[in-house]
Amino acid sequence: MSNPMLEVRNLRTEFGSEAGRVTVINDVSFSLERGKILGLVGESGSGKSVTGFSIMGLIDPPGEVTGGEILFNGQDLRQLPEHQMRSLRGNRIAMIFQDPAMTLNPVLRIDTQMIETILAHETVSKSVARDRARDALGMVGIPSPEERLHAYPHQFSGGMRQRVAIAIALLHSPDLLIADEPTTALDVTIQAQILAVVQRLARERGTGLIWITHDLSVVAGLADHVAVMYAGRIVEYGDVGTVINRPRHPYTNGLIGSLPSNNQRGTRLRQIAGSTPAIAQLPQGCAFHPRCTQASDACLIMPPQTEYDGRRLRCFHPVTNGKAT
Amino acid sequence: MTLWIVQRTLQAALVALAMALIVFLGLNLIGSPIETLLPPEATHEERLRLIADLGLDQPMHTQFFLFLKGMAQGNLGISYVYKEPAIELILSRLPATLELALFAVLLSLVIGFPLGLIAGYRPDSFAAKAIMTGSILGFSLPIFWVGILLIMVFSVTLGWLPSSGRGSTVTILGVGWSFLTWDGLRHMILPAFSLSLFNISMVTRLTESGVREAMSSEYVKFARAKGLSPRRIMSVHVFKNILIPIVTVVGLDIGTTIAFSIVTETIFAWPGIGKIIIDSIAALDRPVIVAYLMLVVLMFVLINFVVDILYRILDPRIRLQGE
Amino acid sequence: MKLRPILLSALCAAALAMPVNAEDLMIGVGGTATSIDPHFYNASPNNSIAMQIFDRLTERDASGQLLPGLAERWEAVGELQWRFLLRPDIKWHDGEAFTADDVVFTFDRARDVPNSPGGFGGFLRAVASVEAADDATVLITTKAPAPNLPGDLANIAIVSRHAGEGADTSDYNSGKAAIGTGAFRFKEFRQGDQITLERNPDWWGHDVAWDTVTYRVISSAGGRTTAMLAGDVDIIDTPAAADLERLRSTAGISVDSTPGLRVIYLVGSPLTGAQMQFIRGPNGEDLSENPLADVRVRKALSIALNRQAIVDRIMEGTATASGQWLPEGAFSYSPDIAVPEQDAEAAKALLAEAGYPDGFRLTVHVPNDRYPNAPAVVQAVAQMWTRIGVQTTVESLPWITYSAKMSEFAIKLLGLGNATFDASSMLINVLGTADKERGLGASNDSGYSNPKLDEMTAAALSIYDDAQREQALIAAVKLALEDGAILPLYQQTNTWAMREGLTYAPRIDERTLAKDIMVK
Repeated sequence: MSNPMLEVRNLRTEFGSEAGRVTVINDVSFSLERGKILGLVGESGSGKSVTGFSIMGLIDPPGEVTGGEILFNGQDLRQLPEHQMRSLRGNRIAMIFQDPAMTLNPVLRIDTQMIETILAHETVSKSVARDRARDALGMVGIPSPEERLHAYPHQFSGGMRQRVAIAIALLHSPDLLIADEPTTALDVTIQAQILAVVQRLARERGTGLIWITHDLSVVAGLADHVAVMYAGRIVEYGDVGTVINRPRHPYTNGLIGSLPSNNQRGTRLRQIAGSTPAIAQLPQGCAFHPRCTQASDACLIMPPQTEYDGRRLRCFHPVTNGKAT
Repeated sequence: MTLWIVQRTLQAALVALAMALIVFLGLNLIGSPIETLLPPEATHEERLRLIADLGLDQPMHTQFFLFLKGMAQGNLGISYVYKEPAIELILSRLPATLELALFAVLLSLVIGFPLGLIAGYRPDSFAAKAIMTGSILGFSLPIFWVGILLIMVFSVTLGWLPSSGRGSTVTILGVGWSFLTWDGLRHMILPAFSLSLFNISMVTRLTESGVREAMSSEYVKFARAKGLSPRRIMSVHVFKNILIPIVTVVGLDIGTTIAFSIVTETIFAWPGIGKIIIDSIAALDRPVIVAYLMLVVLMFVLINFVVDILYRILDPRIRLQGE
Repeated sequence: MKLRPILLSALCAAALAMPVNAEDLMIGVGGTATSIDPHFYNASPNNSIAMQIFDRLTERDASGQLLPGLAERWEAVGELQWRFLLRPDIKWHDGEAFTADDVVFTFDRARDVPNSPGGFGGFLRAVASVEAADDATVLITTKAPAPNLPGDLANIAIVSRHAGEGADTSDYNSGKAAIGTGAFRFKEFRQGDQITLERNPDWWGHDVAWDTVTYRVISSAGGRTTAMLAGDVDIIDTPAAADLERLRSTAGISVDSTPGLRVIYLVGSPLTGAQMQFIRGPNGEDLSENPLADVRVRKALSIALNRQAIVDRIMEGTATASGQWLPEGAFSYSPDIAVPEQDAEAAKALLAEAGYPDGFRLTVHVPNDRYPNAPAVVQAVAQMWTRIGVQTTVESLPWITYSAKMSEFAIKLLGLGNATFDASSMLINVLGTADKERGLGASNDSGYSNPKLDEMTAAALSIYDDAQREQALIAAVKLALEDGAILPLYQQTNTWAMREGLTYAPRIDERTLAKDIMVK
């Protein structure tokens, strides 16, 4: 991959507290090209949202990005002063969040919230900004956009609100859009609609999209690449077909195996034994090994990321067609 | 909407009536105004005559009925002590208290709000810690002590401000207001400040917690993700959201400030209704006490009403739900 | 060109119109005058104001001596008449002439102001009729011999018929009817806030130092002190005892005081009704008789007290220990009535003699918001009584409750302002056997009754010869004290603090009169 739009190398973010510092994401590396979609998958607490915020530069004290590089169009975002980072946000890099009811300010009108985004990065007249806002609403499929501009967020349904958020995010045709679980809070049917909208727009504008989710099945139909996170690290990363159809990491394997679609009706859902460790109390070595059926003493050392079978893998005992090696 | 107004008015009327009844009965239990009013040299005839004049020789229910009858005609009784209609007595003193209380509330907003914004925006800074500690002082220091301290420093020692009383007034709509004259303002600063101290602390803390909550909210995160400037985020996104609880609390607080300006008015000899009510309670001047309490009820109802309306204006979620 | 002479003459006129003595006086007072109507309410603050706007037939000076007022001379005509000869050429504030007819009108009016707490009727009780013999002579006929009448009339402000006829209290408050003959004219009445008066240049009395006088109400003593210290007022009344040190030692402020007429005393009830709940035997048992009915017990309670200690330590010098109820120099004050010395042993002996060798339990009542330091005083009293075996508890109540229940108390603390400037008001109102028809005992709710005392009082008050009357009153006082009718504690001191350069003769009647505040 030459000159990817985004290249994250060995990213590390820590949170400090009374109990000491905790490393929430560790040695995270991936890249994204224009117009491509990366699915970032993991359970809650795996560090996937923190990864998104770290890229945006929205990690607040007591948290801090402490290591690695975030190369955006060749520029390391970590080196940028805040005001320059601010000019990128909402402009060249955008983000949408999980619950649109909370992300849109309930006491401000939709047009206010859209126009301010335009005016934050461009000097145009209010009426021009307004027109663009209206067009953006139309583009995400909101009917009667002219009237809807006057409305308040609570007058929209959940799905509509998320469309508005997407419209806002795409106002300046960013190079990168980070979507942090945007459909988790929505109805399943709406979910599909939102997915479709985002996918279409991303392709049309050549926007790179990072789709953060805990739902592997969503990623399967949407992304070009997928990165699976566990306990703050990426354990498997590669082309979506490769990873989903032929998972090599025991965790990924377990995830896919537990999908309802992969289970037979009437039989018990397969689950991964045990539970995710707390980020402050990670086991020595590979964080997954206490739950892993393939674990051995070798796993007491953190496995490095290696190229394996067409993907990047962090495991000493990869799974092969359901069997360990 | 009209129905709502009618409802509220009826509620207020009921509360006022209940209040009058309680006061009537309560005052009767405490003692008699006659002994307080009569000079020791008063003769028996004078005593009897006064009792008859004030209508205190009638049974309680007759007295209450007469009171209600008078109220229907807009007459709340004649003060035993001043021999003026109780309503006029109170209304003539009300502007002084109103302007003091409103000035105090204004001060609390003008001082407390910015302090709270600073403290909430950077909660770990030295300024924030200093402000929050200072606000505790504002709660804990008793008004009478603060008032006298202010007088000692600014009037006695420095001689910058007058020690008591109300300044010259300008008459508008038949009522004298002192905040329109420089002399009036000079007289009002110290009492308004000592009256507002508690409010300043409250507004500061309210604003601070509101800002902190807003700053950690999703919509502020989203606003930052949009690349908005911190000034825009504070002045539009955060501001409008914290305005709602502040308006509610401050609105109710106006009522309390007016009703309890008594201590400040006594220390600074401010001729408002606070002093009248204290004197009336000491003298058991029932018409004035009842009239005052009715006014307080009316005031609280009005203020609640206004706050409700403001609330509807500020929070669009409430507005549309109601309709 | 024409402007110059006009301007010049305008300036001259302005200069001439400037009063030579353009001084304004600001007085800080603790009490609120409730009305300008001089007959509305007989209380010190109201009277202080009334005495500036209106004059009386006779006046009192600072030490209580009777002086001519609107009447130049007066003489008794037989036993039932007084003739008052009025000063000539006195004008009302509106320019009308003052005549005897105004006096006639006043007496009718003062007795009965509708809806007012009043208090002036007592002074006119003795009057049967008033007539104007001519424009300058007033003839008053009394129902019985009334040697005290001139003194009583020093309380009745004279108002005019032409302004006062049909006027009610609010007309006085608005100034419409506030037409007097006094040293000052009414200017403004801001109820409970301040009263402004301006000099009456035609006043018949002495030179007055002020063009405008403002009585500003500052009800908190601390507030008065700070106003004085800040220079916002020129003079204040009744500074708090705790502030006297500071005021005295501040450069530019002087303090002046005199023992006043107001006496603080204890009065016990000899009755065996509701009072008995406050008196019990030494072990809490019920008693069949009231110990306070025995004069020996009353005497014991009196000599158990160390009045000087109370005055020194609790009143901090703002009172004078007293064995009677008048300050030195007042009419019918007796120099040979001493302040009782404390003698605990003798007190215990008296109690034993009266049949209470083990003492008894007593509750003493005190109002907590009417007389300065009263609760602390009564605490001290209770301690002193407990030491002689009378186990005493203190009940402290707000005045509104206290005054309603006073007649039920066993022994209580009270004060008397004394409107007659002699011993008679106590003798008649507080100690006289309650008798509505004769107007006796109006304030007697303890049930004290001493027919001999009533006789002596009545007799004394019909003696026209001043010296003889004084001796007769003193004899009555001595009888009352020996009978333990009341236990006087102290006379309250009346204090004023003023800026250096002013002088005011402290009055025994607590009033602050702007016309008597002089520049040194």
